[in-house]
Amino acid sequence: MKTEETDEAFFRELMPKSKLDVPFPDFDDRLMLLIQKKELQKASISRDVKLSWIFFILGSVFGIIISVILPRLHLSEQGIPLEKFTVPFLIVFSYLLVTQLNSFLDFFKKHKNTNGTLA
Amino acid sequence: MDDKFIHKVLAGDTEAFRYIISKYKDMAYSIAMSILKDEFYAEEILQISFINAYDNLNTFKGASKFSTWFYRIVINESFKHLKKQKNALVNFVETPPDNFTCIDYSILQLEEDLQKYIINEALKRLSPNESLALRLFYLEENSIDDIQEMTGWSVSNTKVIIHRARINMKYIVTEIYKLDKKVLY
Repeated sequence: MKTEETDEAFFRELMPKSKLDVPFPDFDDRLMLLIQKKELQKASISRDVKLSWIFFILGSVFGIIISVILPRLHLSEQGIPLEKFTVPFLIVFSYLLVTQLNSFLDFFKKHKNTNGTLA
Repeated sequence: MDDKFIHKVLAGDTEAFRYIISKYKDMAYSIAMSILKDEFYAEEILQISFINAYDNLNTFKGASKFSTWFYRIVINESFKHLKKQKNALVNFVETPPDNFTCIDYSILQLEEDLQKYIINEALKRLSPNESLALRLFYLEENSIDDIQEMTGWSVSNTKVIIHRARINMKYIVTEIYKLDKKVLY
């Protein structure tokens, strides 16, 4: 019991001396620089995401308007009535809509996993 | 005080994170060194841990102390790194022989710098778990519950590791001290 107490006192006296200081004097500055770079990157990603959303929505609205208007136009181009372009246009438009939406969802999932949040 | 700076960081004041870095870097470095035993790896892990903490600061809800939450990140990152270094694994088993009786307490009469050197050398030679347990228990004066929360060890396992660490530490300190005595005197 006596030995245990002496040992305890020994460790209590000696162990506080085991604290190490970071031996790199510029550690704080380098780390802050990394964090600031990361913040800039986040801000730029956030701006790009906003722009992507705007163009995605504009493109979708424009595509929907064209697909509604196209069959109603009684015009022809080099003898081919424009309404015949409706189906190929709808196929291309739907394909683009689905692939772009899929890319958006993948992007958000990836950033939620790595950052926890997305600005 | 920590809460104030955490809120500032969350509100977008990146510079407020400097306070957190300067307050916790030394203890975090000591923890990483306990596990990795290499100052360059420890620095790398420290950087990763601080960035990790910065990115996930919004998930810190204050249920435990900030230090507990942050040191858990450092411990996890350090052990993750240690696992990756399969080739660099060193056998840390340095157990006292049966005839080992007692530590030479005259070490306490030595100059502080020499004491620091001996104690840190001894901690380097202990296994990662044991040196980590000793530093958390005596240096930060964490409770067994805190250590359990930081490391994920059970209460009984933590007690066993600390008990073994103390025995091995006494032996290693005595050995280093004996060697130093021969060199010095």
